[in-house]
Amino acid sequence: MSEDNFLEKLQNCLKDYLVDAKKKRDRLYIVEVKAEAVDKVVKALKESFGDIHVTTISAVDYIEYLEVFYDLWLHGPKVALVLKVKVNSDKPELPSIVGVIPGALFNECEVYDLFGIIFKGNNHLKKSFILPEHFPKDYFPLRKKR
Amino acid sequence: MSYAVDLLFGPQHPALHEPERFRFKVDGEIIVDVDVKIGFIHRGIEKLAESKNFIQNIYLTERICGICNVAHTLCYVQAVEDMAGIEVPERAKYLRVIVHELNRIHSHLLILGVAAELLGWETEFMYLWRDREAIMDIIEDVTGNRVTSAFNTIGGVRRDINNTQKERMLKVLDKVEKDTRFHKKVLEEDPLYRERMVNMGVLKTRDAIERCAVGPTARGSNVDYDVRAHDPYAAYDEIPFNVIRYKECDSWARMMVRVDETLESINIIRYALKHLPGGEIRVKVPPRLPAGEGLSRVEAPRGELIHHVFCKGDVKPYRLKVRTPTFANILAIAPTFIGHTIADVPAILVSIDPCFSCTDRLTFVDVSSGKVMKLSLGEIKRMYWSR
Repeated sequence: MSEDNFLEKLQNCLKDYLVDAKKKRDRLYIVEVKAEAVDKVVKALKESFGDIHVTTISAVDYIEYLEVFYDLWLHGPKVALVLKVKVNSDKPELPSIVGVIPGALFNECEVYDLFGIIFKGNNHLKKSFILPEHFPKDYFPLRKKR
Repeated sequence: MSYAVDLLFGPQHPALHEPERFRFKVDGEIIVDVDVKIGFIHRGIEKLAESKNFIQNIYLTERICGICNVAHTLCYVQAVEDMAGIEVPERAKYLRVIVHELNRIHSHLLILGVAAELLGWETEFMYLWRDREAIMDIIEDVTGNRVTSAFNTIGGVRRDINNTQKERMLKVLDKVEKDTRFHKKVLEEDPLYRERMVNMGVLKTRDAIERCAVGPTARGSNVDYDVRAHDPYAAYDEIPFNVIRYKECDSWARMMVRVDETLESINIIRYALKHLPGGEIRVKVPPRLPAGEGLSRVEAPRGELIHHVFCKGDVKPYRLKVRTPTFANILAIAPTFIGHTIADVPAILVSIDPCFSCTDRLTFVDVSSGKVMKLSLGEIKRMYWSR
């Protein structure tokens, strides 16, 4: 599978969930999708393009909302994909993708520990995954304000 | 009737050169379950990066890991260049490749030595580290420092190399190649080494892909993923080299990937030196960079490393995300301990080349009795330094 017409294929594959998709440079695409469907998006990508490598999952706090990004590598077409979703800062919740890609487990645990984003379906979320054990349970250090 | 007993391995343990805790459930000698706790050397570097400017952050990211410091600075400056649309001169790209590969050689020889030491084979450890010392000398010759070299900078590199240095480097590389070929033969044939490493911690290809393993850990399991080849950066798109893979999927395969990669790195450096273009080594970059985001991934000695930087048109990044290779490999390797004996733990663990300083980085806030404190350096000095 090559990179030719990848953007078109991507738009067809994710048309129900897509908000925006663009090519940043060769072998790098940035895609924004609906937050509630992120697990379905990853599943659809896996079915269309083959194995997915999750490089990292993390977030940026823009105060009004949290932007969660998934840095993925698609083994089939050999392209990098940044999957972005916007999440409400007051009640941050997302479906977990661990069921589709087991390798995303530590990444989701880390995001929960540092940003307080709850990944529904991930049963291993706990505070003090990477932070010290005596760290306050209601404080998420990488948020811009408490 | 058998009972499983909890066996704590770490945070402080002779087989772990950095603190991390493994809780093994053992039935007699056999491991039946494993639980990993990371975070013992969490230094809050991502949070700290938000308060430092783009240039200061080069030196901060360099300190995420001493051994793969060049990979970290390279990845960070590439992410910033990607964000700001800075085009780096051709000569700088080749020089980056040379120092990056020297860094890989010294890192691989280091872990091969550590593995030998953990298996009780101190002679091989001494020989490997003696040979590594020659590489450390060239790194010092080229960059001015043995370990934290601060060679990469935003817009290029900080130092050029001349013909005398080039010749010195080629001479040393010839010797290191000869030594590495000798070590390869030894590690391939030594019966004790094979006895301890072959069929240890088998990570099947399918599992390595599903659990997102990276670097020599993945390639030892025959996964075709090397960032240098598949998403080329710096000058890797112009340099021919082979992606090393082994089909055995065990600890021995992961170590042999490193031996072969060392030889491949030597060839990459030779090619880069021969085809080194002329011209400038850096372009000037303003301190305030435009708003945007930049992403860079590089193949660090331990595997794929990513830096993702966000900026709001300031002198500082708004957010810097770093994902280091050991963070990915720990999850992949943890279930492979099951079924082996306690004595095999070091042989499996060392095969992912664990680097926990890389893994624990994220928060900066200090906490005392549940209360969050932010202290300046002056305050810390006043409170904790006795005169």
